[in-house]
Amino acid sequence: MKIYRITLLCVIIVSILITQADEAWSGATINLNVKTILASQKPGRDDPNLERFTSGVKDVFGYSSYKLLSKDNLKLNQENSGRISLPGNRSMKITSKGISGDRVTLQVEMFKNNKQIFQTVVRLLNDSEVTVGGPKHEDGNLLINIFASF
Amino acid sequence: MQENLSHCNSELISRYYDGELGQAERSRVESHILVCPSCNKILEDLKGISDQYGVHLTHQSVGIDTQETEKHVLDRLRREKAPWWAKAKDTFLSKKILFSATATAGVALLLIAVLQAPVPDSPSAIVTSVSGDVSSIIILEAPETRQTILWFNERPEGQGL
Repeated sequence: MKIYRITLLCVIIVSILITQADEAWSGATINLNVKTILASQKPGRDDPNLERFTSGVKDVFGYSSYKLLSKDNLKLNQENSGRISLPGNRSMKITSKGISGDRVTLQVEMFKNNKQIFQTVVRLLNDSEVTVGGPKHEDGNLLINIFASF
Repeated sequence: MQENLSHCNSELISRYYDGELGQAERSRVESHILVCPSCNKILEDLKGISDQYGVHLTHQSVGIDTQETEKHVLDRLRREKAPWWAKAKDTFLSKKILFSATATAGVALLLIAVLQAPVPDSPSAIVTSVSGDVSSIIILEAPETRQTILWFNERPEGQGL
């Protein structure tokens, strides 16, 4: 019976450690990969860097082409902000509001001529993305794809 | 002709019972026992004790795995002679440690898989608030990837709220 007691003890200890570690990871850095995309009706080939993105949204939007305008990486700790520049005198500020459970809470603000025109708070799953779209640019619309991992 | 014992000797009877006597002595003791009730009683008692002990010993030894005991003793002797690295190897590769380690690793992997697995059937993002100086806002979800999309239409320039 001794072996079963030892095994049970090991299992309990490891379970506690893993659960605690999962909570500890919650304080980790949040890596954000932000892609600024121009979606337009202009005929053209989709950017090969956007294959994963376009396969998910093609059925939602009726655009002919998707072009990657810029790509930014932000590393945020709790209550940290990062800002990226967008076309048309716009910018986007992303603030981490912490991790709760399996989701990170992000405040996403868009500015035009330094004036806030849009803001949202989203709770994003690890290794997943949210897209903010709509602003007109050239002959299409801007889509800002935010991929978060933590 | 063999001479009978002249007096009772319990030790000699005990040795007789144990088969330790020579032919001549054995004949003398046998002749004495036939005529001596006291020595006959001693012999009967010895037989009784021996039978009881034999039954008890058989009963006790039924559950003993002699092969396992032998292996255990030999393993212990081998370990005492072995160098420290061999002892360490034996310890970490023993069945007990391997069983515990395998069970623990199995539970650990299961827990990690459960904790790290994405929750199915939930959207990539939950929108808790949305506002802005915009004319309309739509929240969509891509059907295949379950990616959340927030779409807003900017208010034309010069048209504030």
